Amino acid sequence: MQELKNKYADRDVEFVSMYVREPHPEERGFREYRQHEAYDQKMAYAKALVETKNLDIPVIVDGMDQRHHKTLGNLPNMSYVVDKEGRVRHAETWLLADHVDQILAELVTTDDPSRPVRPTIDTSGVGVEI
Amino acid sequence: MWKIARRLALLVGVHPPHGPYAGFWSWKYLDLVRTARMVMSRRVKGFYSEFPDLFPPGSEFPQIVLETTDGRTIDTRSFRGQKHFVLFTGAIT
Repeated sequence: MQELKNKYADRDVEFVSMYVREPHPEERGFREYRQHEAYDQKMAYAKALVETKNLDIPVIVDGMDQRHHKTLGNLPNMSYVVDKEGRVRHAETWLLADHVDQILAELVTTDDPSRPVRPTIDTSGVGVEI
Repeated sequence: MWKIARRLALLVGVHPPHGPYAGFWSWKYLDLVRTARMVMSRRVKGFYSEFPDLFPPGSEFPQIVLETTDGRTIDTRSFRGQKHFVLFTGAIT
């Protein structure tokens, strides 16, 4: 997503990550991460995520009631692309940067046809490094 | 082989993420039994089956107002008329 953010930095596009409940707390690769018991802990984990991944994308933190997460679908890594009119243009159960890139390319090209953008993101190697 | 595994998973209502090994690369760092039970549960399968009907393309995205990790507040309504936006969920594990 950082690559996407950089690609669309000079266009009218914003990226927001919403930190939600941990789907695999205390599992094999994540023994030190428990499920959230308080908002302060949740916020601390979100800040750790920002630092670990060196994120340049704003990360909003859903409440302990998971209200917004449930409203949007309750999935761990879902994605939405919303246009300037507030309408959903793309919704997917898993975040795929190349799919998001395709939609964004259409939207920004429609905004300014004199500066067309083509989809260029390739996610064929995603998940190779763990 | 992995493509077949992915198709079989989808057939039984399991939705692995995209990526190598038909999406099963992530199981390298997950507890297999616990994860298998979770993804095979009616509850989780329901999340995937209900998702397409929640906010399909063309529908109005709900307003979300939440605090960021650096102390700001983001209101998705503020993007209206100004910016397209991408919102995605995530966690550490």
